Amino acid sequence: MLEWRFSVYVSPSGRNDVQSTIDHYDDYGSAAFERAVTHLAVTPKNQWQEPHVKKLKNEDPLHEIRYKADNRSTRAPGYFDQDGHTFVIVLVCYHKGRVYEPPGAFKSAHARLKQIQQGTATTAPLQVDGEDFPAHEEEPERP
Amino acid sequence: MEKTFLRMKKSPSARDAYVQAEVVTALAHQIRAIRMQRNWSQAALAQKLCTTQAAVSRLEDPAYGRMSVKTLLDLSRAFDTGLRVQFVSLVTMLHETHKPKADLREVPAFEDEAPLVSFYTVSKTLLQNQSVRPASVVMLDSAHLSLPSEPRQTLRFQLTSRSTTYLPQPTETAT
Repeated sequence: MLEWRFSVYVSPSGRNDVQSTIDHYDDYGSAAFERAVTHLAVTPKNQWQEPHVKKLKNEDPLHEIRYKADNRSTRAPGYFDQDGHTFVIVLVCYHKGRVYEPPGAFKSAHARLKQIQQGTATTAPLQVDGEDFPAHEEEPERP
Repeated sequence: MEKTFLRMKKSPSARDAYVQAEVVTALAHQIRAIRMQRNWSQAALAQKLCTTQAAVSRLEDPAYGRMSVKTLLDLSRAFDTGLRVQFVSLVTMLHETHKPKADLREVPAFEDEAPLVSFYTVSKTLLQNQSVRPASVVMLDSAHLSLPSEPRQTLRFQLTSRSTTYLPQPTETAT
């Protein structure tokens, strides 16, 4: 099975706040996020289910990746790109009970999704430890 | 993997964080995968564990991560599988877990796997003389346990395993 690739939202002004948030996690948040996406990367789409991922209701294309960072339940909403092998994370937010922080996170997530679809915003490959994720292990050179 | 290793080298908390995150995430994925492999609902597994559906849901949640060895043993009994819990070097762990394989999550129940296993005895002399041995044969004292990777291969072994005639003849040495 092909691995899923991950991309992140980049604003029209070039601001990459998803990547920035991920880069600023402490060791525990960073490892939790990295392991969550690593295991999802090799998981078929039909098994992207709770509690690892939650698909939002009805026709909403958004799914949220769930993990714990900064000792808080964290959500990374995103969608499956039409290319069939990329999941695009549009936002990172906290979640407790039915409350998302920042408030209106999902409104922003939908707005960002629309921006990408309309071409006013772009995406960039997700980076973990400063390199594209999943990392492409170099094959040893053949003699 | 190199970047993760370098981060671990620099910081003990990065090492601790990796171990914690990998164990709880991999375990949660595997419990769910084995349950689905058996076509069990969370409620069905809960019944086998004498617990509640909500408790099974927690076991499949990497955010929970507080299960005891006893719970793991109860799960291995319910799944009819083995369980390996061991300390390993961090380098070994990083090497073995950095890139997980989804197909390794599913594990057969002993009842399903047992028919594919056959034991038989062969003379030690013959074993010592023969230079080629089927790759899937594991020696256990004077008995052999065959654990072939494919059912077709299993059939071949089972058909022939009660005699020693399947073994390649000792290679003739040039005189």
